[in-house]
Amino acid sequence: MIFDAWVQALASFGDPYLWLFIVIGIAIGLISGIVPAVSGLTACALLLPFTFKMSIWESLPLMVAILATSSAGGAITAILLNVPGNAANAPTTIDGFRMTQNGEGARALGASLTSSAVASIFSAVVSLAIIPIILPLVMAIRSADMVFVIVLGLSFVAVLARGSMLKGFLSGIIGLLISFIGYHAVTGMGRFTYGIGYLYEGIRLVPVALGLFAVPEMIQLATEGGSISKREAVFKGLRQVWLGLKDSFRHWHIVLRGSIIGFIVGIAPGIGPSVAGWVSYAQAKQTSRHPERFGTGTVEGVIAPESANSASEAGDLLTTLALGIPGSGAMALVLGAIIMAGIVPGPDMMTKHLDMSIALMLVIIVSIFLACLLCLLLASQMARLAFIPGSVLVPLVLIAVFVGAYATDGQIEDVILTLVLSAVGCIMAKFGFNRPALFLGFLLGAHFERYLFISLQVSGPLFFMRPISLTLIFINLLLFVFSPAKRWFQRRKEAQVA
Amino acid sequence: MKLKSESYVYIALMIIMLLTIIQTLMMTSFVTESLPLIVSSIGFVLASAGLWRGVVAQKKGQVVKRRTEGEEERRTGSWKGYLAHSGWVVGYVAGIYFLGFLVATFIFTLTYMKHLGSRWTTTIVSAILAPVFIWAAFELGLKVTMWRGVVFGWLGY
Repeated sequence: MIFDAWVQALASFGDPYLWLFIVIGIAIGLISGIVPAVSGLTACALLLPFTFKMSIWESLPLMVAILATSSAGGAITAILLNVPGNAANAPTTIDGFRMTQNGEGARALGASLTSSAVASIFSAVVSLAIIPIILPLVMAIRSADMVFVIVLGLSFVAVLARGSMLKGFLSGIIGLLISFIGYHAVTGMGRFTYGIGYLYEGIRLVPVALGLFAVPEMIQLATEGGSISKREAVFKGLRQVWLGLKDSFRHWHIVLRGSIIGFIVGIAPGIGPSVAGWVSYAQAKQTSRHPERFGTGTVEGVIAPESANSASEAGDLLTTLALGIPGSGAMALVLGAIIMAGIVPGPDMMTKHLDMSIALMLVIIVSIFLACLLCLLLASQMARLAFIPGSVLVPLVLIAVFVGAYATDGQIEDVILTLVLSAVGCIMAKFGFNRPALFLGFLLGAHFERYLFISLQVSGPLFFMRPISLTLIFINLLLFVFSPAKRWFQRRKEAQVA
Repeated sequence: MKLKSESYVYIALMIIMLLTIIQTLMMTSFVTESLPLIVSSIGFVLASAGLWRGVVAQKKGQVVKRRTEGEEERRTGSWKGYLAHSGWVVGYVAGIYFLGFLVATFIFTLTYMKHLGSRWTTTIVSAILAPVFIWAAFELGLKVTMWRGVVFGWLGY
């Protein structure tokens, strides 16, 4: 079975359309990484309406290529302009921009991109190697277990994400309640529809994604004045790039440690690449023979966060594909594209669509390799994208949001719903509520209810008396004990970095 | 004691959860109502906990640290900006509803870009290109009939 899937996955790379979507994904990923207000998450949210017209072999590689490359793009502006393209690139600015000020910007960029590429490839290869090991476990999962897999996923996102745990849970609950709107799958009765015909089919995914993730970012950018960067990018000397490339291999242990940290953080749902970067930076500083050099422009301070944030993507994708639990908001959108394609998230991607899962890991390897090559050649020109004024970016992205919301189904109600959910997204962003948790609750709510109903019908009220379910309940309980300890650990690490 | 703005969000959530609970109790099928009832009840408890925690923290905070007038002004300013830009988005959607995508996009691009400080040439070129792109990409390319607007509907177009 695995051999056949590998053959099919490799054969899919003979399709020129797959390559076309990978190249488009790399371009969008790099641009979204470089332009500070637009993250890979925003780019994927904007693309979601168009995935309706695509096959799953086009939409998923496109989104994965975007997510795999956006942090590489973000490193360019973090190093050359002191403006992190993504939140994940924030730790890179500490030493990266200092190196640019010291006249070593090209070296920092060479080191950052090489370590990103090596870490991503390492993480994707480990994920591919793990698939045969986790496959029997995934195949043993039944409906009863899926109930607790979903609960665990929501708990992870609510508990481990930055910000208040209470707000995380409340966000997840709001998402679940939104998913209950419309016909009940079993009884056929309408819930919370208030006689509005549009609501009977339930809330659609695209307005939720666009409203929650795209509009609040643009309003924030417009409120802040819309200026992105005023510095001029300084990038000279291909010899320095070569030096940076050699630095990555000279400090291979930092790249390896960063890759492992990134992969583990990526696998654990709800933490995300930005935490991986900070943990790796703090760890590199702690174990360095010269910790005093961190913050003054040392290349280790660039390699550590970049290797970790890049490695986290493959780990995150593995959990999303195997269990249907995304580790970040961006992966939640990938999950959304999987659901829109009619695939039940979770074990299906490791059984019926294993070839696709393997191909997506290979897409990560190919796209990060090509992206880093492109960045090394065109870094200076690409950094100019950071100068796109907010006054141009904000109106055009807002237009794309509402046009995209309408174009999916051709219903004006979708546009109005996007507006309503934008208001919800803005309030949540302003008060520090957890938007990915809401989105995940919304995505998995219907599946949660269906699995719960099937389990109760088949096994009765004690449906959870199965080894996997009990283990998942135990992990869930452990999470509540672990969470305060983790928060204390995180505060300590951040204090050390500062 | 004046409540923090976050507390009002919790109060709003409590009201929404309470209304959801009442509505689920009015449903006739136990299978249909059970999960929303459980979830909204948990939501109500969590929102109440959030409100209580906010009020307690505020009481302690008033003794330890009072917000300076400058801070208050910055916060209010940020809120005003946030609401003003949200107003533009609401205006755009209203424009789409009444005038359709093409006309609303032209007006929105022209006025909002200028409001944000773009140059006239950039603004005019974008205002013309944006609806042309929407028409070419969606109407011609993807064969999606874009919303024409209720006003044009009344006029018989």
